[in-house]
Amino acid sequence: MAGEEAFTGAVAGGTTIGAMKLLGTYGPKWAATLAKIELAGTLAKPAAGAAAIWLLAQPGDDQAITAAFNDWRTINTKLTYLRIQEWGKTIQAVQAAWPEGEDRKAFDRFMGIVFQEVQQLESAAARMADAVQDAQSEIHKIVNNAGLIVDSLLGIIIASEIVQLIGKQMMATGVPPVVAQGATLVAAAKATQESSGLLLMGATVNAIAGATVAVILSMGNLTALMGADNQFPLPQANLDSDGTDGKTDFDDIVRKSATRSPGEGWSYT
Amino acid sequence: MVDVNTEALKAATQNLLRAFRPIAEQISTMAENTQLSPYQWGAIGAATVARNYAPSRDYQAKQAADFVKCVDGINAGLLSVVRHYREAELATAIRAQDTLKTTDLQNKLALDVADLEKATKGKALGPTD
Repeated sequence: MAGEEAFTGAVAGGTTIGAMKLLGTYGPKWAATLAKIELAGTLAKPAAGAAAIWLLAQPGDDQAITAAFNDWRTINTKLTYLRIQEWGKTIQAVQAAWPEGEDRKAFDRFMGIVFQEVQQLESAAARMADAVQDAQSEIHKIVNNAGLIVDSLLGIIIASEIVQLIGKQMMATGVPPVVAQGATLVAAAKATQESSGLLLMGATVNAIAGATVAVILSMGNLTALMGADNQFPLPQANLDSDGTDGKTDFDDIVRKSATRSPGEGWSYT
Repeated sequence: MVDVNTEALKAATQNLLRAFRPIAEQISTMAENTQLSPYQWGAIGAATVARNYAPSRDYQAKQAADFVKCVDGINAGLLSVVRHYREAELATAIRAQDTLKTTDLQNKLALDVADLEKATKGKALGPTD
């Protein structure tokens, strides 16, 4: 039977994910096998349907998805390192050189806000990584499930074809008991084709629907990561202001407090 | 007068930039590279995944880019504080007629001004509010 090497290859790998990888490798041969057996009856349609799902669920660039996952994970790790290893000592060095006054307090408050933003970005990156990984594995599940269905259907089609062939040869012998047995085999093989096809088609639909819902769920809550409370302050570039324009920043307070808080030592001008 | 250790504050500022800027830059570049087209998810993943992933990705990538600006803003803000206290120190030295110290502080202030200019030039700075 033409294209049987694809089927044999798939079965040799076991009806597992390993088999699917073989099917993936032998994609065109597998398709050719499906084309050859298009006359195999009711099974051909579910097999073609499952094959279509298998094809549709194939990620166009799985490596790019993995790379994106790795990037989000690395962003998370780098921010964790910054927050835990670098932040404290770096800020302490600034504070040690700069005794506490109104300006220093403004700086501390500002760095507190930035610290929160760093933490939020850090956890957002972790959730992006998780969501990408979950969605990817759900897509893999769809591909694998659909592939296993095709695999099973091909097996049933080929086996029933063979059994029917044997049954027909038995019927051709003309020996009455053998003819009767042959007829039974042919009928049973045909029935198997039809019932198994329906069962497996149902299984395909369930597997695909379930996995698709899972993909939606794994991505659905990402939108919650976008919010006005999760933002590094927008650039204002107001370093040239003296704090009198309502845009106070920590370096302005030095100048303002020179007149406002002379008791703190800002008496020089 | 508040006893600000101007030299130490400047060193701490430079150290802050060295410690924070490369990390901010790296994560910003990485976040920028996380773009995935619907095609990359495959036909079944495309609609569901792309709709949620793309806007979230854009948002976080902007956050990472803003963090770089924010670090630049912190750096410039601190340098501006350094310059301010240096000016105060210089005024004190001039009043005390300490010529040696005045010259030294004038040189340092010139450096501070140049550093601040470099820190702000062509950069979209984050706020220091």
